[in-house]
Amino acid sequence: MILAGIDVGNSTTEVCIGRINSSGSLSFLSSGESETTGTKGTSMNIKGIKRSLESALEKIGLSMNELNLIRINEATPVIGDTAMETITETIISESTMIGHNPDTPAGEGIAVGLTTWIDQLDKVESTKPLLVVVPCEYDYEKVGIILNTSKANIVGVILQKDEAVLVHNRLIHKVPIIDEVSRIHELHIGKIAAIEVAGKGSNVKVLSNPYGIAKIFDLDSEETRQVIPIAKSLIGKKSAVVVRTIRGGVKEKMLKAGSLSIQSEAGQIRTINIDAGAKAIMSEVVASGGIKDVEGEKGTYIGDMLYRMKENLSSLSNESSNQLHIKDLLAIDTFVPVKVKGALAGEVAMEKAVAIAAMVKTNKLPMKKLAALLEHQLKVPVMVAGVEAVMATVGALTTKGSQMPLAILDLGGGSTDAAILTEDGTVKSIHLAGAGAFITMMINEELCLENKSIAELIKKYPLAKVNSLYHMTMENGEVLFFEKPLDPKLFSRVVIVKENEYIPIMTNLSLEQIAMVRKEIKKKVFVTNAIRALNQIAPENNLKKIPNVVLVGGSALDYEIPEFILQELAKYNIVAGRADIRSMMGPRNAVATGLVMSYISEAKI
Amino acid sequence: MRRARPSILIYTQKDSDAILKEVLAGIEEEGVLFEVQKMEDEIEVKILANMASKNSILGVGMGISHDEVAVSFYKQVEYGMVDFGDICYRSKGQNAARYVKLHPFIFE
Repeated sequence: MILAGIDVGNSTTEVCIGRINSSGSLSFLSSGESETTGTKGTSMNIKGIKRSLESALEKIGLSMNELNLIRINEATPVIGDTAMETITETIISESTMIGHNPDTPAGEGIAVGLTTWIDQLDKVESTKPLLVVVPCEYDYEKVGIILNTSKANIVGVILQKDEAVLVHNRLIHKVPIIDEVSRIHELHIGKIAAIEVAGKGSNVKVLSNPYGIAKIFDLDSEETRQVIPIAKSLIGKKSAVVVRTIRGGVKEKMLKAGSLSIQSEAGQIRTINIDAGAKAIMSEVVASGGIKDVEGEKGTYIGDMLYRMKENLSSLSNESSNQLHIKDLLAIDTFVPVKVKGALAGEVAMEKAVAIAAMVKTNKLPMKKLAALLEHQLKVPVMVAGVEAVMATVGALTTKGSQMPLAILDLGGGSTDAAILTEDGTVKSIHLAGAGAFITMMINEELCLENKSIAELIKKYPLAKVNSLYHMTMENGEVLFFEKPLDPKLFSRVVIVKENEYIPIMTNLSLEQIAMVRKEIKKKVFVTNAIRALNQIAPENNLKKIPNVVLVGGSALDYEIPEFILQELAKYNIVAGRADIRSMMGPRNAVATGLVMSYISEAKI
Repeated sequence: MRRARPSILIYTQKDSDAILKEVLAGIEEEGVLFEVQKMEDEIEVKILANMASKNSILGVGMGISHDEVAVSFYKQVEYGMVDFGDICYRSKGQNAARYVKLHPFIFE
């Protein structure tokens, strides 16, 4: 007989096809995979299942009606969601600061003076030092002539256009010039201001130092404290303007982050403030033993965040949101670049943020219903068989060199699952929040990409820096040469190397910065979860009692995640490695293979 | 003839002064040196750019004729092969300079 095992996962649907001959021995014929359509466990999945089955059958020239049986997994009724929220916010209320990195500022040094429109220069009688503000109607030649013939005491220039070098080259008396200030009309005029242009190869020094600002504006100690957010957000900039206004200034607003209430299975409630940080939150999660549900404080960021998550999950699972319970939570601290509210030249500030992945247990997924529908449509008998974790371990055992007791770590898209199969045949399994999709979200936020598909590509593929129209250096130092010139859009950019396709990342970040963010996030999610998961399924909760770990699932295909996990597990003397299902599938197809294999043992019984 | 100074060479024809001014402003803002030579004969803009780039020590040349501007990176790309799309004259000047500086091109 010919049978198919089908595994519907959060992101991928996998198929394994096998034949059992008359003597009862099993041979594997083919396998296939395609994207899961819709939320798993719903009738939406049928499209993806069909596609996956057809691709597997096509490879061996079989048709659907030659299948004798389909075995589909009893999918674990867990779904996950992720969210990220900043908990600080920088607001410039009185437009007092400009700090940015224009490509080409000009001049050097610091200048302090009264801000004055260029058309008002001839009306100024005093010899007070002036900072001339130039809107975009003036071109560089005109500015040069006006400034060179003016009798006013000009100490610096602020331009709206990108013409700092052009103006500077035309000045007789050189002064520092800042350009590309897009919202120049919101600048305060007639106020004392300071501009600073950093010297070659360095960053601003005076305006990024609270005492530097205090000296310029003659501030007392209390006022100096208030300019800390200004100084902080000017660190690392090549040019800056600070205007002194009477009221207001830059505020770093702490938003009410709120607190989490973790209700344990035992009925205890633990409350922890989000401000305490991810480490403290995660230690409460561990201390609770098993989680029954998690609530966020109402009217706070975390409250809103969890509420939206539950609403989202309820629409996916068709269960009312108050019946959904969060069974696991992974919190990670990060800093994300956010556009400053009220900024004049598109400044960004690094804001503190917390990223949360949550796992919700729903009522049993209606797999029986799905199976009946599938049977009706394909005209092939369909059977719901086996627990996912058991099937996965059975499949994983086909990896050469593995032995019982065997633990598997299933690094998926929606969740990190772990299971252990012991010699006596018992299986213990666990599902944790945070996996591949969580990594994609964090890469998107931390790099300020505003593009999930680029974030997904950064997660999956290595980077390169384009050095010329004919060559690029990969992040491991390897150099690629091309016979035909590259697309000029790639020139001097950091690109994602997706096999033979090169996708530019539109950011000022260096290759090293992007690679570091990617690696850190992968570690924060999967290394943390690997340890968390194995600790919970290990005999006596002791990690060292697990001799073998096999990595399966889509994220085990990643080119660096398995290595990060192996490095960490090596510390505990655990033999760990990427699975190779049936010595040919790599870490994929474990559950589907397990479904086919388990048919024999079940038939014998 | 090879130029001693590391500059972008621009071969231009008469009646293109307004465009030349914009192109030069683009190069100047990026802080790269340039030299301009006026050509008497009518020559196609791409050929002008190619000639200029061959004589530039940086291997970067530009041609200006009537209302056309071409950029050529000698040793790297034959003229006409780098397509910046529909960008203004100043941006073309900036891109010639950005090539020298190894900075990404402007496309708007």
